[in-house]
Amino acid sequence: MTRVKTSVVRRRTVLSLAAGAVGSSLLSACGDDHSHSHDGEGGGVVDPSISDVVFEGGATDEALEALIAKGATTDATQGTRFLTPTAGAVIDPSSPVVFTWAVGQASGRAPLAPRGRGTRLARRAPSLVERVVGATLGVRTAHAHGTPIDGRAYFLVFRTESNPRLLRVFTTRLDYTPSAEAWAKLTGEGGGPITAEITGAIFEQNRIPQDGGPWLGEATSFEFAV
Amino acid sequence: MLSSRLPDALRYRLYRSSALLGLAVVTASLGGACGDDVTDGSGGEGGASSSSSSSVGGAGGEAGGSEAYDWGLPPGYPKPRVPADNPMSAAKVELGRRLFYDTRLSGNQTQSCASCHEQALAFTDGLAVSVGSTGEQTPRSSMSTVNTGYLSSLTWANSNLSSIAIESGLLLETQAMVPLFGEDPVELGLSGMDEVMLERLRAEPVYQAAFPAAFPDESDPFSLQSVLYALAAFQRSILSYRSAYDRYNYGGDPTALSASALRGRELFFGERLECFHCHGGFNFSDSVAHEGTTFDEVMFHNNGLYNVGGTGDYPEDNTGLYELTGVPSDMGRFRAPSLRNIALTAPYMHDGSIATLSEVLDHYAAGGRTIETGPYAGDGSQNPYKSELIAGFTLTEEERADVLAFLESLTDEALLTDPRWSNPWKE
Repeated sequence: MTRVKTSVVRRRTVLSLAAGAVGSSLLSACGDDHSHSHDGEGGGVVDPSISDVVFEGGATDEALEALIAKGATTDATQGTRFLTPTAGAVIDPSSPVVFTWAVGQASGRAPLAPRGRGTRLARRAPSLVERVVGATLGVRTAHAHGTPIDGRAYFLVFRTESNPRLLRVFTTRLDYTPSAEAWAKLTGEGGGPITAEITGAIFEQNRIPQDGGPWLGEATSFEFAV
Repeated sequence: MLSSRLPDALRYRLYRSSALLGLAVVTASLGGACGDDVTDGSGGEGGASSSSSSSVGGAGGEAGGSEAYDWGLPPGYPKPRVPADNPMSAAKVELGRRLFYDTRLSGNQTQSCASCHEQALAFTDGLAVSVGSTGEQTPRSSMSTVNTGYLSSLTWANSNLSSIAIESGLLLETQAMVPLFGEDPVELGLSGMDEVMLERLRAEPVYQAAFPAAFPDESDPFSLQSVLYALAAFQRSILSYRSAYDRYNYGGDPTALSASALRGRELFFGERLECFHCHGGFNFSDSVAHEGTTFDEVMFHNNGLYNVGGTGDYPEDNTGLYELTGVPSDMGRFRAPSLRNIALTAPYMHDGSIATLSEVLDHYAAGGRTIETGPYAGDGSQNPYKSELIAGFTLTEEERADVLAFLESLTDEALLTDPRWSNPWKE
């Protein structure tokens, strides 16, 4: 539904221009135009898929791809820190807890100590379709699911020592309450600490502007009561 | 006060002045043909788009220097696009502020720009339709001058100005001539009084320093172009970015939005209500351009406010884009204004015919407005030119309250008293 309605407006715009314009340059400027470098800059592990990610608060996969494709850094004023649960908390597994966080000074707490430079996220490789389309038209395929994001969004990753992708969530909100299914993932891991970490960025129509991050936040850990 | 009408005399003036301003505007676009930027006609939706002109610069350096202008914006927040021919500078903005509040910019010296754009009302006037310096009513409601630096089109329905924006970026500079010199209706009433106005300004001691400071490279800084450029620079500087919504959405402050406003946000950006299609993005409008955008989208919509006689007509003196184009499907098409500070800018719609935000929700929930009796009687929901996005919806009372809470969260209290944009003549 979202895609249809959004595309109606976008498509109409494109059609209105089609007569007098060069296709590739216009397509690339029609909301699906963030460049997608294929040079492997940033190195690291290739992310084969984001199909496991839970999307909340109207967050879009196109924005997430933009975030993953760009290396995150640390910034005391722009990174997030968890408000709840508190670090080291032992949580009752019987019902989901609410995870909340704030950005830098907005949390009302002391800013993060710098961690040094260059903490980078793995860069996602282009899909086959993207490679084909990119090679032929110079543009990538559109993945605009829902209204594009303007403002901050947060990529929340829960991990254990044995499972680096226990649960991944992409949201525009400053809180996350796991669904029953997601909660089962967290509680079913079989003991041991779980680490949660957020990479946030500021988006402009699903793209990250020059001064929009992404920034890696302060991680937190918790355990479930046995 | 920002009339979108362009009487023939003003069109000529606009053309002449545009040439003086170095605008790359073609005659056809000024003549109202709008062949380049009015398209479609299927369902009352559509607009204009174009690649940005290379004459549009970035954030704008200091006049006569390379220092970047400080917008005061937080990281990641879009910056207004600045025409290369009119870079921002603190001195120019300050001059523009003085001019904006100066009644010498009206023929009879009774009104200034601020008469219809009051800071306390988010730079609107609280009236259904604005009243010019000679007492003449304009047909339309005063639009907010907040965040106009982000717009790809100004006024309620003027595609000619959109063309100017796309071609040159000198949108605000050119638009200022409409209220200054327009004759139908008269707003500030300066038609034929360019030199009179400049003489008044030359006589003011404050300006004797301010004009040369703002335009140091001009041999005679007292010119119509300087007035227009300074006014535009000031308007471009008026930015709203500190609302509760912004503190949550850009500042990452979880305490900024209430639970109700957050639920309202979900509704606003959801497909059930469809609000975001026309009022989306950071500026809550679909006619937005800023630094870094490579695509100017200009959209006009018929939202089913009228359907006079069941033929799709709007009141004769207020037909929207149709007034300039004569294209039937342009009947009743207006630009979707930004919803920032919307709680302060009542009454609503182009003619101020809806008094409250709650009634605005009623209008959209019904998929258009029904007027039972009188000269404008008709069922707006059946207007054949209505946007397909105005399909109607139902809301529970709680949901209605949530949407209103969200809309109220767009109010930027700091904007209303920020001294950067207040009346300098009272200081």
